[in-house]
Amino acid sequence: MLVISRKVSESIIIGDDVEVVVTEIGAERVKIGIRAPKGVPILRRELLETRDLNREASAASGPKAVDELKRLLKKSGRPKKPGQGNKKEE
Amino acid sequence: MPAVSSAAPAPQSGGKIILKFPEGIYGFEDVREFILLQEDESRVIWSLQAAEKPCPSLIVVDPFLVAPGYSPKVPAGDLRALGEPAVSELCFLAVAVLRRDLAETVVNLKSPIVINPRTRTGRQVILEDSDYPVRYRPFRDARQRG
Repeated sequence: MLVISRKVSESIIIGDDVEVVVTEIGAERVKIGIRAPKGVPILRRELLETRDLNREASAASGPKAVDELKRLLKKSGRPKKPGQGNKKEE
Repeated sequence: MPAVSSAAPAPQSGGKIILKFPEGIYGFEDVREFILLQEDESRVIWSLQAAEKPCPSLIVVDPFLVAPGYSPKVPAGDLRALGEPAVSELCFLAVAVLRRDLAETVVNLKSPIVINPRTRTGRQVILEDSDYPVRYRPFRDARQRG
């Protein structure tokens, strides 16, 4: 991955017509501005991931799968020690 | 925040919970009406089905039971879209992808389905200020330890 340092208001150009500008730098996040032609879709990654997961979920949720899950939940109780990802928000 | 069992809207006539999703959900933006069905007696597992067609039909689970300590903060813009409800009355559901190998089952904690029970309006919300994963595997660690 190409990594470039930028200050506020500095930008990078991708291809001929996409410009990414750093507009604000905070303690935990940066704000970026993007100039791109109308037809170029710009999406947050988690939005795409959510869309993909919804589609997968719909394809995977047959009545059989639900019965299986119910059976397993009954047998094992619900998960008691969830692992990574179970962080409190700050 | 209340578990789904207490927060879910009461069933309407015919025993169904019908919900409006003015903007659909991600990947199914044109589906504006869903039915929420209880799938198990303990009210952990629910299904969210398009009201007028067979697809999508999603399994959704109570995120507070799947991930104890879960504390979603709904962004202001999403609360506005839901009609400015009190946060304490909101109903949260997490979309699950069920796999035969339960350890591979994933639950989306990053983008819960949030329902205003009073208006029966729902919306899929991406939690911006959180590190919750889109693909959280609730059973993997439990199994490794047990």
